[in-house]
Amino acid sequence: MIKTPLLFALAFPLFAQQGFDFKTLDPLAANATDKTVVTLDADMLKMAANFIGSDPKDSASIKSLIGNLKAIYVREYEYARSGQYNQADLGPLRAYLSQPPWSKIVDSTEGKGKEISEVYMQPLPGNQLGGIAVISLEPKELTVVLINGVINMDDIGKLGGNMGIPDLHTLMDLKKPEDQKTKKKD
Amino acid sequence: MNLEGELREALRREPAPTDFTAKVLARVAVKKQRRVLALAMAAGLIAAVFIPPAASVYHRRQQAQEARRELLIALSITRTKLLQTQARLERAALRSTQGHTP
Repeated sequence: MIKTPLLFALAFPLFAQQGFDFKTLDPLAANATDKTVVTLDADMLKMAANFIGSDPKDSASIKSLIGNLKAIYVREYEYARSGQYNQADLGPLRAYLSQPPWSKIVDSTEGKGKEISEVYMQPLPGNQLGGIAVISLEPKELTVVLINGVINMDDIGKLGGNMGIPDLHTLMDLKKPEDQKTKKKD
Repeated sequence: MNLEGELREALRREPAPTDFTAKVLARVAVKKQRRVLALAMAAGLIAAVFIPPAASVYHRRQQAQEARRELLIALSITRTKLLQTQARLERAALRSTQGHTP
């Protein structure tokens, strides 16, 4: 009798950790004029990493950064007019990212709620991340980035020189004053 | 018959059979055909051994190039969006220190 709920309780975190089904975002593409869809699984990333190694233009940092990644998903949609996508279509993704091990570190809104930036991470010990996700909404543009796998923060820092990726520590530090302000209001 | 007669008989000139030329040419043609066939089979064998791996290497190279292109696009978009977020947070922090509401 006790076994069933126990099994369910044990299985639930496993379900929660399973990958997100990006097909649920397909309705967002319906009215898009331009689309960028990138889906790279571990095999493709390995392939790309081998190729990057043979190209002197590419940095060794990129190779190191993608070495432990499991997957990269990017969905970028551009629309001719504002209001051509429904934010509710992001519901399943937000629900997925609201579960552990994901943690929202940035939730920024500008332009009377028309420009939204959300950054999620999977914190790991030892200055590492288990993944990073970005949701960016603008009136005529919607971007979703989800990177799964172990990311070394130092590798991201190294990319600053040639890729211009900001230091994620800076993002977290910048978030703090807003949090404090919210706490004061409460 | 004496020896001289036997020799004359043995070395007597005889006309070639009427189909001799045709037979020789036919045998030459068969040999030529066999050689062409052997060469074709060897070429086919070489092609069967070497072309599929070469095609596979080419296909994998194409795939890797495409994966690399997609990876760089993904990293570029990630970079842009994180920089955008950073800029938004900086603006929010500035507004916060200036005492303005967003």
